[in-house]
Amino acid sequence: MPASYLDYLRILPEIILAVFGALILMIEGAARGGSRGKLAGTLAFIGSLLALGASIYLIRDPGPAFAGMVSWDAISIYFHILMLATVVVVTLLAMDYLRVQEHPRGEFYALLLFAAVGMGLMANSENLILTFIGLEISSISSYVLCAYRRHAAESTEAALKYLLLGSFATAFFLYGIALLYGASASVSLPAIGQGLAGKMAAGGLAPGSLIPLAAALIFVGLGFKVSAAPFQVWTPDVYQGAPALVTGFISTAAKAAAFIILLRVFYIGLRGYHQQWFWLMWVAAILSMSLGNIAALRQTNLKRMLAYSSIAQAGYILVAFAVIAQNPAPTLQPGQTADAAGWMSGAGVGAILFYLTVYTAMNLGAFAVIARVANRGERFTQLSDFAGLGKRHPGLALAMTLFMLSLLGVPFTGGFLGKLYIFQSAFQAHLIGLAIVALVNTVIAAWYYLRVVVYMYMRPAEGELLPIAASPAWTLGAICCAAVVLWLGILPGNLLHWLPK
Amino acid sequence: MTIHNTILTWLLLIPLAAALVIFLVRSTTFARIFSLITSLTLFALSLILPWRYNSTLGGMQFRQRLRWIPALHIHYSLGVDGLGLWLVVLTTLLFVIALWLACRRSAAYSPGFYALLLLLEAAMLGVFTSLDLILFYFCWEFSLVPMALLIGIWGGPGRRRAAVRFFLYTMLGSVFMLAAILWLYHLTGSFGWQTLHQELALRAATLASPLAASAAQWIFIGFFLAFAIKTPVFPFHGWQPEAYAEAPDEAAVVLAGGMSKMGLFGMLRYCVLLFPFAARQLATPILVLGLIGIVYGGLVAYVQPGMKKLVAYSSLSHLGLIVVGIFTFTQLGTEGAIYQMLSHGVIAAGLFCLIGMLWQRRHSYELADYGGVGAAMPVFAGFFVVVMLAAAGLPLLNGFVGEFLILLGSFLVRHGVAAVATTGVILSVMYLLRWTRATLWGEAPAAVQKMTDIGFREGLLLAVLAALMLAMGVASPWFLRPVIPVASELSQSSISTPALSLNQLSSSHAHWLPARAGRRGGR
Repeated sequence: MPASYLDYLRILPEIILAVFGALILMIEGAARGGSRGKLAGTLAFIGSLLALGASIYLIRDPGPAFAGMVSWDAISIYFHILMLATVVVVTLLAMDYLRVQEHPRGEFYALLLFAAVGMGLMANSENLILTFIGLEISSISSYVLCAYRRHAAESTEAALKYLLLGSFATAFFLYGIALLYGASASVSLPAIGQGLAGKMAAGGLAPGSLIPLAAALIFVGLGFKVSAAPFQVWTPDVYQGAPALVTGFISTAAKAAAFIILLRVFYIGLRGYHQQWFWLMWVAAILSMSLGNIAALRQTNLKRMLAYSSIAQAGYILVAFAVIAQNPAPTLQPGQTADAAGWMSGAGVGAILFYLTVYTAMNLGAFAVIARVANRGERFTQLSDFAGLGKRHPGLALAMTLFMLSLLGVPFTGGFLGKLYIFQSAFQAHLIGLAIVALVNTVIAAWYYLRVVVYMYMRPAEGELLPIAASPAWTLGAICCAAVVLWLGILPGNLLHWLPK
Repeated sequence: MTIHNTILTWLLLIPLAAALVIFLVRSTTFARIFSLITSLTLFALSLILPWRYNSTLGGMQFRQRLRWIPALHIHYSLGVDGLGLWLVVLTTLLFVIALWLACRRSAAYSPGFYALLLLLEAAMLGVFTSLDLILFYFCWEFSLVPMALLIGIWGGPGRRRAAVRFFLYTMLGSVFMLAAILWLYHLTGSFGWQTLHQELALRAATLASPLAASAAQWIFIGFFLAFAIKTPVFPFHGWQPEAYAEAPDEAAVVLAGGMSKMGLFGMLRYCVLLFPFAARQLATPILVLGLIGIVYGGLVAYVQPGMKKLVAYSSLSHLGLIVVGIFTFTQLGTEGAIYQMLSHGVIAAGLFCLIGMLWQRRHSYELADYGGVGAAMPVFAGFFVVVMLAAAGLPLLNGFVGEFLILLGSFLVRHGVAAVATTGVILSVMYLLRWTRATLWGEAPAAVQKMTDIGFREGLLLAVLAALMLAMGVASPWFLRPVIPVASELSQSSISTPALSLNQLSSSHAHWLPARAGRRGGR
């Protein structure tokens, strides 16, 4: 079947991003002088905005493309809007950040857009080979972005660690795909799901077969990407070493993309085995929450602390995955797309998507503030550098307070409703023990999030910060994050209306 | 939309809007005046509630219900009963006192201080008026943030520790409550308080599908932990002395006067009304905790060298008595408990006002730094004695009514409990007289001799408080009228026979209060 116009339409956001990325690279080579960086930034902004517009435009036109390789369904639409909005905001923030850091700008934007292409493909894909390609595109761009502070040894170290361990994890993922192919003779997720269900019904599949091993290997690979414990060891070093804004990006959009694959692989491909992978999610959720929060208590570097915090946040999302595993999976008829079977009706799916949105806004916002306070060469990322910030820069301190309170889960911020949604679905699924562990974890976490607020408002300033110049682009980006956090905390009705019930 | 439907929303929106305005204007003088005007407006507005509340009808009134987050079945639902309405009035009054008190130290406070106080007011009013469990939790949990910031930014030397402790302790309790709320939702499918109230009562009455006794108990415990920490009840008071001692006086007025009532209010509204059985099953251990609190708090208060910690422990003792009043389940005891909540709010506010005025002149909270204040500040000393006597429970002043009703009520049901609880009264006289003696009489240090007496502004504040104490002491039936329906439900919704029969007995003993005897006949 030759590819039609509709096929290309359904990957239009990726096409736009790729074209603009390539354009930036060409202009970067051709243009001269000081306007170069500005031009690249503007192009990236326009490109990501166009891609975002295209995704919103394509809401009305869901369906499969490229013979079922790509599925432009509700979940990929949702993810695209979330991820592209993140890219738009990151572009805004980067204009200020790159200028202050005096980093070369063009490549940064190009890599950012390419990473976005990879993430978009990951979320679209119903074919494990395409998923893998998307994962690689986004990972390789992220590795380079992590090394962007060329003169800082820790940045290089971060990138190298991320590259080595990331490749290792990808290998696990690939091996898992191979085993899954061996068991089901397909790399298409719906086909795998049906094939396995059929074989199971025929009694042809022994419980000790390849499938659990394949599931475990895939989980290792994706668990690494979402920094779920026990695959989280790379996270603190990488998040601390990478440029603050890159950390903000890979800890939100990249993580969300990996969660989307996790959802697709396990919920569509391996849905017949939900009783088995329930325990994977359960154990990983408890470990991630507890290890992340307990380790974060001792941190004095803010980037590192937020790295541990992001491990814990991944744990909360995994709680919702455990909820999904508890619900009987809908059966997919041959030829049916995932949407049509109503697979989005799973109680936990809405909670995952909502939490990913909130988490993206609040975590990116926190890193935006850190990037700004850190200033040239990222000199000020210690907790003590934030002492007295409430007096020196009330606006920055207020924004940081909002993001910290949201991460903590204080009412009237999105973080609270996100947690409420997850915990509520956990209770509905009878996962009371898991929910209580999660609740107790939020109290542990309160201590270190609160510590940031305590430093900003209740301690006198120590030492001097470099002056922080006003930047409209940064302010706009940060306001976007703050607005989303508040919107989802106070009146989330319209978004929740969209999400599966 | 009449004022009846919207007044509670106004009470929530006005402080929020005012806080926003103050934050945007960023002028201290403006903030000081504007916040005081706002709080006075709110107080005036809140007086509509007791004025227009229909006491014969009882139940939830001034209700408003809107869809808020339909996907999660969360509603914006407000309403007050006889219990809630007085607590709303108390809260708005406390904020007038706090902001009035804050006038004097204008230099020390930035606009943020006033904005946070108003945010806190909105959150506390939300706690007392919400009829949706999630909305309640929103306000409950959110009230932590402004209070922790008030303590941590403007508090005493140990403020950071106190603020973090306050936050974490209370939050730990709150998550158990959240678990209880979600579990309850899982079992019943509703967050609406009234729906739950009817549903649970119906299930209990018809035994159609009663909540498993163990589930009800666990949910009860989840709620109770949150409220016991907030109040605080004896072993959960770890955060309290520090928080009271380090909080700026204005925040301490609200913390001791109002926030402790949030916990007691929760016990009444959520623990006892929703789970009457579980409450009665678990009453004994709770009574024991309350009694330990009474005696322990009183004894520790007696040896405190600092005034603020003295008030903290005396509050522990007084609040323990209120818990005893709630969990003995008699009409008199419950009415007394509710009355004592209001009295204690006013008295604690008065005590912190006195402490604040002393600090203003001497910059010390230590008893050892005072003595002979009576000679230096005669007018102040007069008010000081009035507040002390009210706190000690002297008849004709407000402290007496609640204490007496609680002791009488508990005596009718459990003699032993009443006997131990009465020691609290004796202890309170001991530590309050010790405090009075150490402050007002004796040799005046040089610094004290130079202290000037209170002026008009401070005098007016104390005079109003003293007048209120007297009014509440003599006109208690008027204050209690809207409380009677809810108190009778709180104490009589029991099916367990001993409490019920003794309860009727308690009614026959009630003619000592002439104004109430008539109404009781009609009931």
